[in-house]
Amino acid sequence: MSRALRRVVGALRHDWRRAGLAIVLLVVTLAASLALMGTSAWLIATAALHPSVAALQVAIVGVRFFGIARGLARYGERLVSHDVTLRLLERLRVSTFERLVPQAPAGLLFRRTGDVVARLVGDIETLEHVFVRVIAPSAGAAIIGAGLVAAFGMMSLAGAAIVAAVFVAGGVVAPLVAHRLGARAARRRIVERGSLEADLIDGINGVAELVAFGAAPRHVARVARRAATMARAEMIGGRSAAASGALTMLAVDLGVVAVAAVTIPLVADARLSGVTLAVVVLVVVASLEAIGMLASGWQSLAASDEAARRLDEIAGGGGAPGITTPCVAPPVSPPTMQGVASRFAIDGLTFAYAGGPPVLRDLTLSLEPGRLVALVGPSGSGKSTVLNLALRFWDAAPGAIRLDGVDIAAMDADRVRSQFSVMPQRTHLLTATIADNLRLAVPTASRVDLEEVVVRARLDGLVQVLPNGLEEWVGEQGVRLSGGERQRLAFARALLRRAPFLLLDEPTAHLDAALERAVLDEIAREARTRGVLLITHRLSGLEAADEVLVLDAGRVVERGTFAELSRRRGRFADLLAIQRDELGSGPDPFAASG
Amino acid sequence: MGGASIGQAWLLAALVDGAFLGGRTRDDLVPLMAALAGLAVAKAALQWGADQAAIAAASRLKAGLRERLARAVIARGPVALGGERPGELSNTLVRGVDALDAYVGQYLPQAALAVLVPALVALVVLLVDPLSALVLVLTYPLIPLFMYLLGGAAAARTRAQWTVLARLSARFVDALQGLPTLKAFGRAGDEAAAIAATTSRFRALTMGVLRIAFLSALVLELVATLSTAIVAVEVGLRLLYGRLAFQPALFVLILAPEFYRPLRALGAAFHAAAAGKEASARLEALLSGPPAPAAVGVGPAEPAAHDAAPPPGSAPVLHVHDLTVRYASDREPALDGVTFTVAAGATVALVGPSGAGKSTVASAILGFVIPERGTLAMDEHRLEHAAPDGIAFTRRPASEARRGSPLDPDRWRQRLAWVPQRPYLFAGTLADNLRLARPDASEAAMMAALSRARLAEAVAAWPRGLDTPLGERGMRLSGGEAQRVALARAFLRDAPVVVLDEPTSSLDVATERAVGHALAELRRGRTVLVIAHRLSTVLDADRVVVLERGRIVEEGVPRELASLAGSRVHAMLGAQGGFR
Repeated sequence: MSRALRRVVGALRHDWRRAGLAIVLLVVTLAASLALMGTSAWLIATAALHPSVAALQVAIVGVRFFGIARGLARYGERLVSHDVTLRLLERLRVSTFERLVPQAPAGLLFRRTGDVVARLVGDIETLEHVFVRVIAPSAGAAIIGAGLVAAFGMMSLAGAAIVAAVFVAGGVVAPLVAHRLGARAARRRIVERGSLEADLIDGINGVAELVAFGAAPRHVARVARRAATMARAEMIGGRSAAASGALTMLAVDLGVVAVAAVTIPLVADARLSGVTLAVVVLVVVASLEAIGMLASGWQSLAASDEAARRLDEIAGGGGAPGITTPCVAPPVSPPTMQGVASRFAIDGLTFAYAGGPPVLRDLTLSLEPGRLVALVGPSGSGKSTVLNLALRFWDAAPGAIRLDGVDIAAMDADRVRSQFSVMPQRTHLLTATIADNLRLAVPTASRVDLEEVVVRARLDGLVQVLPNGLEEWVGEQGVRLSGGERQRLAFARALLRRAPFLLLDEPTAHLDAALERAVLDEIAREARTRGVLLITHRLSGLEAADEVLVLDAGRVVERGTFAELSRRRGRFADLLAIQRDELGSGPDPFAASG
Repeated sequence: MGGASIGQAWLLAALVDGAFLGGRTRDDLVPLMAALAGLAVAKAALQWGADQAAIAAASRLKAGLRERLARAVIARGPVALGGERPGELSNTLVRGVDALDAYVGQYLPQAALAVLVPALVALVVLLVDPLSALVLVLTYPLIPLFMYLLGGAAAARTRAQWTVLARLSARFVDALQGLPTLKAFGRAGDEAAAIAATTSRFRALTMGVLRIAFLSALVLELVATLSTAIVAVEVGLRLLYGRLAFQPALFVLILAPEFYRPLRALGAAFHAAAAGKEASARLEALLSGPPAPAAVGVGPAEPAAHDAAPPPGSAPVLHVHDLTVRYASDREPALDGVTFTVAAGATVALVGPSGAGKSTVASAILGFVIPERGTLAMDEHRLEHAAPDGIAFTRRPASEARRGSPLDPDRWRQRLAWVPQRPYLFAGTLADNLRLARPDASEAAMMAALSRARLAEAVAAWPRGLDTPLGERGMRLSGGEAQRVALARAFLRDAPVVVLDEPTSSLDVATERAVGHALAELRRGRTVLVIAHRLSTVLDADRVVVLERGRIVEEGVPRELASLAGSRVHAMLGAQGGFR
């Protein structure tokens, strides 16, 4: 069991009362089962000696009692152990989320978020077997085993030794065999399954290429090979599961013979009654129930182990490789800035993501209410990094970024973020209503506020045609919004929040010319009262900017107003020429008809 | 297995009877004990073999199913798959098939055992003690009955609960993916609390469902244990009055739990099986989904065998005649009677507002969609799709009745190279990605293609060169680099016809220049249809076709149209020139 899984198991201690109750109920179930067989055996063995009916009365009642008790205890045990499991998963979900919060997006950026998240959810679900199939049955088997050994010990030491041997072989050796032999196959299977899934996703994403180049049969053949490898891993795992299951059964069956062999002489010597012989033999037969399911439970542990390890790795617990621990250092001193900042300044900022080349070199810019600064350049030139650093998703060098002269690295991250209203390049919409998504920015926003920003973001047309207007669900279960609609929703969200600085990353990338114009006008209007940083690869609308910075490979290669830059025959003029050649970047001749 | 258990019970009863009432010593009973031990070994071996066979059969079945599913999914083609989420689909393909395990690998065999083993046990008990056999046979139907009554209700609620749980997962995914946004607005803490609240509410709901779901198991257990108890008491009382011997009584008592054991195992597998059954319904829907509009060849045969009619060396004329395409759910056709010709070795630029049908023209030429009407031809060879039943059904206008041999989509596409706007890079090396276009390409050929695509210099600087891993887990290429990989594929393919979706500008002067040169070289000597996004591309083309709402609204020589006041090309020029 890995450290990661031990940590998961350790989380059960928060719920030890319920976990304990589940184990007690399991022990009662198993004990009732053994008692039922034992009492039954006693009943008929005694009856064979033809006593009076009265002698059998207690046993007759006992048989019925144990029968009912067993069923009820089993019912209670299943309910309680599932409750324990659900609570464990609940705790894991919340704690994983909480552990991810400080790292997002820094720790997640270089992983494929969608996939990681989906796996994370699946991994948590994989852990549901740990208590129900491994911990509770193992504890139950240990207690019942100890009880049986003690009971047999009062009768015969050899008998006790045999029962102990049965429980060790069936309850310890067989599960360990299943776990050890099965673990490698299970892990192999998980790896193969990952590759298979990656291949399938690859094929679905690249289906057009596969078909266009006649490569679809090759792709299917590759998937088939992967599936066959996975099937082989499954069969290897299956072999050890089958072996350990058979081993458990063999241990019990041989145990029955051995117990009979040591008990029969005692009966022959009249040191033990024949009735006891019948009871003893049948109790050993019934003991299979206590250990029968352990092997398959322990085999499932390999998958849980892998799931826990991955969960730990992603959620950044305990120094798993490849993960940067808390990406943002806690503030060393309490924030000295009060209220609303009036100046945001970047001074000589150079930044590289862990292990990479610098993405920003010696960047200097400043923003105050009433000022609009544009950052332009090709994709990959480092523009969006500025936003990540301003929001303290990553930490820049001390002193490089300041609010009202205070280093943001010394401020509480939430306090820093409260100074900005942001529109990130990729809009994330919650699976909720449009109003909910807007209120993400300001939870207390009134209906009037929402309607105002919807109009300003030119979303009013859309909202009017939606059956439920602002209360329409969007995202997974609601209407699917187009790229441009999502973008305007994010813009509305950014407008709603009255922070002194507005940071906009590619706010018009998916808009047609008319909408782009309208949104740019709104941005210019915002810039009268706020400091606005406009990150874009489109050059339209930059006439209104107080300063345009042209970035290339992280370096500012030109800066000035739109007029100055377009007169100069430099990089900006080149970019302008490229963009003028592009259809649809100016006022769209098709806009009226399209 | 069942037989071994019965034999074991018989021997065990004889053993205990011999020692208890028969007064035999251990030495007398050694043969019995040896037989018991032998039987135990045989039973374990049988169990081992049976389990292994079941697992192997299930694994093989799943592997076959995965292959069929992969084929079925790809066969639906690019257009139908465009609206799907790859994650969801692959989840169904991977985890859905896994869920079948419990159903096919455990539930179904167990269901068979649940009928066969009790029947065998009842028969044997009938021979030994008819009254006990009667008890067993009478209680047997109670179990399926209760399982049906309670299980039905529970299954419905369980299914509803699974939907709720799936939604809970979705919510969790949602929150995690939106973390940067939540943090930016200072709402991450609220979300953690919201997640805690929803999960605990869902837990309470789930427990409510389980309380009922487990009732069926409770009834099953109660029936099984109580009838064991009844057998014990009934047998015991008859023993008491001397109407039954000890040995058959003990035999029946040992066998009674064996009678119910397969049923109880079936009940335990019931839950997992429900999920598997759900999954199998979803998989069935995938396998029998709508027939592929793309008529994609995904059969086991590699189309290399098709080369009976080798692609012509010289560029053919591309005819597009009366092309009409309608997507399944739409009332309006996406393309309506589009007719134009790309002369041999010439370039035609296709322009129009988004949604005008430009990509549909490309999809039709690539054979991704089957036109409702119209023909596509290279010289005299028509593209002919096969109907799902294998009958060619593209209508042939009477005027073209005696033209050259038709081409099926696979052979048609062999004469085509395609450069999409956002090329997809597969997980694999750069060489793997290039060989997509030509599986047997040599390294020298790939380097030559890269150099014509103006990417050779960049690749030479990569430490692993052609062996550089790309795709999800590989190196991240910029848009311009990915574009040039697609161009290199087209050079490597060396097809006489090229369908090109021009990239939008990347605002990177060097990349623009490199891609521009490569495109110009690719066009030389080939018949090219380009979906143009640049004014210069339009002006350089031999002809321009303007599409609006699925119809051609203007067509001609670009420079002539440009000087024609009132034409759309003229308006385009004016708009670009008038950038403010």
